[in-house]
Amino acid sequence: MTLRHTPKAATWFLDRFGPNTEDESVVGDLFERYQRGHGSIWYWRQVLSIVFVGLYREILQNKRSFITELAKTWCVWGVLQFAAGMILMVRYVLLHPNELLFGIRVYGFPLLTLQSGAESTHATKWGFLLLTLALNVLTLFLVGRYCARSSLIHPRSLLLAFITTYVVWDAGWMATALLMIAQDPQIQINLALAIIRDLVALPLIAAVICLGGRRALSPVTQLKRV
Amino acid sequence: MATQPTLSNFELMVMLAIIRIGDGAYGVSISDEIEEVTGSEVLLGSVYDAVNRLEEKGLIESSMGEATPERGGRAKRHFRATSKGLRLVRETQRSLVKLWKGLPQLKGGEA
Repeated sequence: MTLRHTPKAATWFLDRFGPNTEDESVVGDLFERYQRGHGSIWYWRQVLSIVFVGLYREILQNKRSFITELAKTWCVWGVLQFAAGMILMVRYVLLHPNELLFGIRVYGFPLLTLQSGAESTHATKWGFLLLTLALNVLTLFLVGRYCARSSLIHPRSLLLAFITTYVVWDAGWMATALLMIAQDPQIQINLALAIIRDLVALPLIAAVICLGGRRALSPVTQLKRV
Repeated sequence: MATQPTLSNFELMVMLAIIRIGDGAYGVSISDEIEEVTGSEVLLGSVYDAVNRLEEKGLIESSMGEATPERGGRAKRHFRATSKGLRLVRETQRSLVKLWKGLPQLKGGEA
């Protein structure tokens, strides 16, 4: 009998974020049922149900610690974003006041919503864009590292909760932007571009946070910590 | 007075499925049994959540089996009901039967 391969990304997600990652039977059960001819959507649905039901259960069991740790993580993110905004301000806005006043606008919170204008010179614009990108990556990487050091709750759960709240927040912003597009045709192009940019950026954001918190996602570390 | 653990609707279904299957009960067979009886799809996440809670309450116990190639080399986690679990299921059945009795709305399958 030929065995079908399960979707790799989904199995990786379950291996790393599942509630009982040390318990191989969960992956085995899914593998066995998948062989009956179910599709990858079915597999993803099962994986998401296992991961998020597990997270929900963990939140219920340690409500206070969970909320405290998640709030602290968001505060760390906010402080890092603010610091990054200050660096950008000193490096570009103060050095090129006339050009940047009309050329580039910075929204310090979050930095990913930066917009670049066509009026700035290419050198300034690209330097600004690259620094913004580097600061964003660094900020998210450091937040991932912070999650991995959590001692009150399982670092893996904190990482998952932070990424989930980030995605929900951004999805909320995108839904609002879509509503604005529907109401005011004048702002359609800018907002549509912003939505596309966020859709592209979200998986990258999650990947950078995971990279920062990879210590918490290594199966060996999890076994030691549980 | 010591509080008796209670069973939610889904936990009761999982308990009954484990008792019906007997010694070979594991994640897949439990979800198959419930799907066959209820006719609706069961998410494995709900089954694992229920068995973890039942185990915490001491109503079932689990043991790891051998790894098999048809499961991608992963072992099964077998479940069986404890005597405490069997007692609670019997008590739940008695309570439900008592509640069922004397309900004119549910007689003759008209409701």
